[in-house]
Amino acid sequence: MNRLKNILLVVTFILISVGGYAQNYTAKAYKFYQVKQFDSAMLYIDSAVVSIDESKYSKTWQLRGVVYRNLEAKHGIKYREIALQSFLEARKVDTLNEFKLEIDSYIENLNVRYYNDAVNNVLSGNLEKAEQPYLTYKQNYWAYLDENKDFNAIDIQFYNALASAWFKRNTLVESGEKKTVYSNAIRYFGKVLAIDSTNYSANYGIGISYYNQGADVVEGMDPFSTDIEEIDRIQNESIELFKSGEPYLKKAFEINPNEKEVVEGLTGIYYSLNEDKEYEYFQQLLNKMEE
Amino acid sequence: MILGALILSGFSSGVSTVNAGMRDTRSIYKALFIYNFATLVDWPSEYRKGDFIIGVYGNGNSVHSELLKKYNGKAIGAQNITVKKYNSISEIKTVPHILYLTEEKSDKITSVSSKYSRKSSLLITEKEGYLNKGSIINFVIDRKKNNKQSYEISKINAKKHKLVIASKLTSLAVKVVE
Repeated sequence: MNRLKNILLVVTFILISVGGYAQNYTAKAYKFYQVKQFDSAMLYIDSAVVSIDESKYSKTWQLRGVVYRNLEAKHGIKYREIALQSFLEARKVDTLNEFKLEIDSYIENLNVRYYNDAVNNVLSGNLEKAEQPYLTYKQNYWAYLDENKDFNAIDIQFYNALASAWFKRNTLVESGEKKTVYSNAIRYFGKVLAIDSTNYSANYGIGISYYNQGADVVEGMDPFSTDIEEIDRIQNESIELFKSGEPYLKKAFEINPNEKEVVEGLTGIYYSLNEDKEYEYFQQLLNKMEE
Repeated sequence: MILGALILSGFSSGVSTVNAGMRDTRSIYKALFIYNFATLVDWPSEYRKGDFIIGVYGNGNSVHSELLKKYNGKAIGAQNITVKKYNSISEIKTVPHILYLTEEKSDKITSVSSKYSRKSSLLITEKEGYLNKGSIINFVIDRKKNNKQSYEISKINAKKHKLVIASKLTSLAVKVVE
């Protein structure tokens, strides 16, 4: 909250200073900006940035950035991109790095909107569109803020959340769509494991996604039209899925042996694989956990 | 770190809330096999009228639940399927077309087999070596093929009960005793 106040103070200071330059378009734009008439402010600031006299000032470009940033809600994400380009131009013309901190702050706070879009898409179930804004956020961060920024921890959090959201969708879709849902869950959990192979959630998530797919295949058999040869084919398919899930659940168990969900998963997998020795071991473990 | 950044929370427990726990795939396969046996075995003409009875001998068995849920009251040829459950041999009043002895009751096959020696009842068990004890079809796990649920058949025992088993059924059996 304090940081927000500081930023507002900086913005106010800059804009008051802009007025001091007595640049026609910029000053007029600023007046409209002050009274929140952003569309009118945009008309003037767009003229300012093509004016040879005014476009050389960093503050002109900064004002354009904040005007367009305010117009995003009304006109769409294209205005966010223009705002970002304006802040970048503001930095470019700020050859003495006079406004570096302020401009970096503008860029960072504008860029975080991409991250927020990604998170909102996950939370609202708009999963197909969740990853792209997250990638844009990261690319912008590396390109404009810190090329050495380490995103591993955030990647793990984001991709686990996205994968989990895909996983949860399996209860909402028709059986024909489940394969896509699980494939996406496995793909995004896989991105977590590429960063940290010992991540419990991702190992469990992939394991249980395969297990559920195997069980879905079995439960999806038509009780009347599935003949003896088809049963054989379906057994091959389901066994392959159960076997695919097994190493991930075993790894999750290795990481967190006290988690009941993973013991349940392994009990289910070994039961379905007709591996009685392992099944009985995990069933007993599960029974103890439930005591 | 980031001003105004939203937080993703609760994701780590999100996976576990859906479809976790065991799903009884074994019973689904066994029930479906039993239905297929019903379609691939020929009973003598006197058994082709009235209800087609599938009996399960064993306590609280989930194969029985599967059969009941999916097949009870449904037609097989001109007959209606009736699924029954018996906790003891004495409870079996009408000769079932199929009698499945659960794993825990499979060791009763000798007495069941002698009781129904003159009846055309397809006796199914679930223990190794039980074809020798009078079973006609015995559920087994095929250890050579990824532990698949499979079955073995005794055509000799089938003949004793005047049952004719289709070649399609024998062709996929792990073992056929001629």
